[in-house]
Amino acid sequence: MRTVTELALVLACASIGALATWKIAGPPSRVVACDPATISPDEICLATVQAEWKKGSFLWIDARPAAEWKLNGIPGSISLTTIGDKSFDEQVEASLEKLGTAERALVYCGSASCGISKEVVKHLNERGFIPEVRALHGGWDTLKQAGLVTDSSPAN
Amino acid sequence: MKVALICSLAACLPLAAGTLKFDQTKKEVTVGNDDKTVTVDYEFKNETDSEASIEKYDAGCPCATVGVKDSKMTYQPGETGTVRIAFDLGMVPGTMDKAVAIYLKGDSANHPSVTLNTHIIVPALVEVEPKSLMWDLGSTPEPKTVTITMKHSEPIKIVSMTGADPRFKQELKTIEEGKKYEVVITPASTEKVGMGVVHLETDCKFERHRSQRVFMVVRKPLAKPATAAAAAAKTTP
Repeated sequence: MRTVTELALVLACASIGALATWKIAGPPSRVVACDPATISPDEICLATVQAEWKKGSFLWIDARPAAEWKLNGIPGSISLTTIGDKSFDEQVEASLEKLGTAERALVYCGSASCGISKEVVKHLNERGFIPEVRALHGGWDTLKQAGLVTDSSPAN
Repeated sequence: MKVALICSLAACLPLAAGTLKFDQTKKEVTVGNDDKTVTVDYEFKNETDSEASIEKYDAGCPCATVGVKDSKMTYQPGETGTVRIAFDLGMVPGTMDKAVAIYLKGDSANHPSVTLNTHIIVPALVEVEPKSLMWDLGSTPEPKTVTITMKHSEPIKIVSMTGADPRFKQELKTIEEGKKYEVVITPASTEKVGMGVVHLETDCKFERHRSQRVFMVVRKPLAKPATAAAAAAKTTP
């Protein structure tokens, strides 16, 4: 009987500890934080884009697999990625009219850790079409949290 | 007193999870000319006194498949294991940096205990420099040159050049057969915005390097960024 009581006491104390942690630190955060001072130079925070880049003045580039872009890419975006069976230049050729005239481009990929958007930035800078190309910090996760994902076709 | 001690220990239970120590968390690999995938292993050991569990791993992109040897996710003190990552290399030569997050039991949602960073080098056997040529609208339609240098130990020849765009005239020059070529491109006019592509086919036996493209763009002159313009004005005597 005493063992059971002690066990119950241990469990109760552990639960109180966990509950206190939840109350003090809050629930697990899934928000993608973005501090312009700490991100890499080829990245940009969505807040900076919304504050400083005029709406409609830049090209959205979806660096996720082409199938995902077709499903729900940002309206008006183009698909350009380093994964899959198409060469980068083949994809560039398909969107040359847009890439050749854009003055700014914002590249996003599937998550904060995907890294593909930065690769696309690097390859576009090597080609030199667009004066300013940045990778969106947090990628798709950031867009979802900001309510910019409409689940409609990118052609719209 | 005894009860208080037990309670204190119990309250610390969530903090007692073990951790894993990786031999290396950064690796660099150079892949073969026609490799489609590359596999990289990261060895680890539980050097703590507590059990450690891998809860999940996140490659962040569909270009990597992550697994733990024998699907074993829980490690007792002293036990060793291996995280194996298979990267899909795609069709783009150059370098790439891939990060895989390893979440251990007790990690919060966005803060993995370990991040494994892999620097992958996919050698470029055909170097095209520059990859694109640009003329400002209304500028002199002067010829510009692209140099193609073969970086392979064996010769790679350009077997064809296509891109029959009347807006651009192109000429292929052989500098050294199998080693170095030049393509001289001249826009017929710079009065209108226009884009064109030259396709270069080589006899390279590796698919990733066989076809090359050069892009040409006639576009509106870009406005100088305010900061650059200010700096230029400052240095002008």
